[in-house]
Amino acid sequence: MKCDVYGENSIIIFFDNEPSAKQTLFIRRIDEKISQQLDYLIDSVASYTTLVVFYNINKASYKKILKDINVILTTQTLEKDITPKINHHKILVCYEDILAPDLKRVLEYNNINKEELIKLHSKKTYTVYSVGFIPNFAYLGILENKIATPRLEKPRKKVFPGSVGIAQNQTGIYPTLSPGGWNIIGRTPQNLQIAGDIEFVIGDKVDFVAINIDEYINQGGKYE
Amino acid sequence: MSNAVLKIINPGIYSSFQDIGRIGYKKLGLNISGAVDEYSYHWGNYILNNHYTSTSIEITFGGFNAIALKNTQIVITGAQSNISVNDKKANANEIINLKTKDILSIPYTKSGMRIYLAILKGFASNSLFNSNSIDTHNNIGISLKKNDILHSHNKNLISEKKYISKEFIKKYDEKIINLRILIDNNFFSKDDINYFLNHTFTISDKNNRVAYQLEKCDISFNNEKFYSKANNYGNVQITSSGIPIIMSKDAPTIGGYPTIGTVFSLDMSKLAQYGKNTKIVFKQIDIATIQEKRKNFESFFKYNA
Repeated sequence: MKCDVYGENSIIIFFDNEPSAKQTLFIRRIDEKISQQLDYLIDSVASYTTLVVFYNINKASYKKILKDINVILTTQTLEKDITPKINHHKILVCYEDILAPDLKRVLEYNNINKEELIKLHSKKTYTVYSVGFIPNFAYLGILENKIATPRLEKPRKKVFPGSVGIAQNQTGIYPTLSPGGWNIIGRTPQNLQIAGDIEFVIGDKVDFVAINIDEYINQGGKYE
Repeated sequence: MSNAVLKIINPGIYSSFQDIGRIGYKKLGLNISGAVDEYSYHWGNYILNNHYTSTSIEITFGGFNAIALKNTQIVITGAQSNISVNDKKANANEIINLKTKDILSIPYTKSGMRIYLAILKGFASNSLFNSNSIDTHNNIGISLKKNDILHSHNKNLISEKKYISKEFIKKYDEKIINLRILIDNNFFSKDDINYFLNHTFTISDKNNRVAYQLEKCDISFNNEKFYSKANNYGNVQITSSGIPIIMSKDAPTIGGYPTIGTVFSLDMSKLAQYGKNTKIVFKQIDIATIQEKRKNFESFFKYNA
């Protein structure tokens, strides 16, 4: 772990270079501890192997925050002090072709059939490694190697809200209409927009539950 | 209480409400947004004795026309344009009195990219996450359209003649951009950094509220095992093909390329005004100087008042 100046009102903490569910939980603990202890913080963004913390420079200089954070990073009692509330989200996914423009590409790339893909994608419990890029977009890992697929060479201009995508060993759901380069293999009827029912936080767990098109429509799912 | 003050006749190419942006929601994936030329944005509100978070219109390239629906006062700052009221020349950087039915015209800019229209007490709008800033890249609000009726809160008109002193009006002809070099987990070599600090860069045509792209340069890196991390306003990221991208206010909260340095926030105001083909050079600045300059700026514009 090391801590350094990042932007003019932020510092960055580097963790181990290999992301893991265990490390993500540790980052979540550090993040919560820091926001409890330091009253001059504004925001924070955790992502895979780093945590960036934003602060009010009128209340603390870069020297002060580096010093304060180094004290927290060397606290031995972190596990006892902080018990994050880990939410377990269930996301319904319909893998029907009409909702999955890149399904064929993913199947061909990995040389598997649709049933195998659905099984491999929905049998695993994923960890939220990061939230961002667009509001409430959760980076979920780690995807089975058997279905890992590189990003599209040319990002799509419009990815519909609820679209479930794959990029390398990650999977994720687009909460709003957005451009995007992930391979879309299905769609959820659930509303994942910011300030809605589901809010992803790093360290949270996510299960995908496969549903058919009738259920997708019954749940309010849309298609073009 | 708020009243209708302006009706848009023509919004120009892209006009949007902006304020100081959304602070504290990056955790949810929501970027900061807000005025990209903070310097010009703040001066308009300052002259009108507005609170420092007041909402103004950011007008890109000009081409903006509106009719006043009541007597009010405005200040135009930022890029230069031959502004007029009822076809009579009006001055930027000072209070303009608008009477009911007056027609304000802000033609296409002569130099610079973005004009700010500040109004007495600021524009009223439905705030989302503590800000009226429009961020069309993240579906937060929509840009201003023809026939939109804009509202503002009531306040007595200012009777004194107020203007920005000449010495504070930026000419945007200085092309030096101060930045702090950031050794992003040793992605860049000493040679890369030397090259970066001695190279003259050209702003490409891909520049908007998300990011300012520069023309390709001779820096490359090995992008194996690079994990996305938080974007910071002013971060200069370099793509694997050597294209520097400077992250602006509507940039995603998380980015996927290594960062070579961070531009000083008030020099981001200059970049917001430079168009394509502008040549720029980067100059190193240290964090202590940056924080001192920024604190002076915030104290001048009464951030903690």
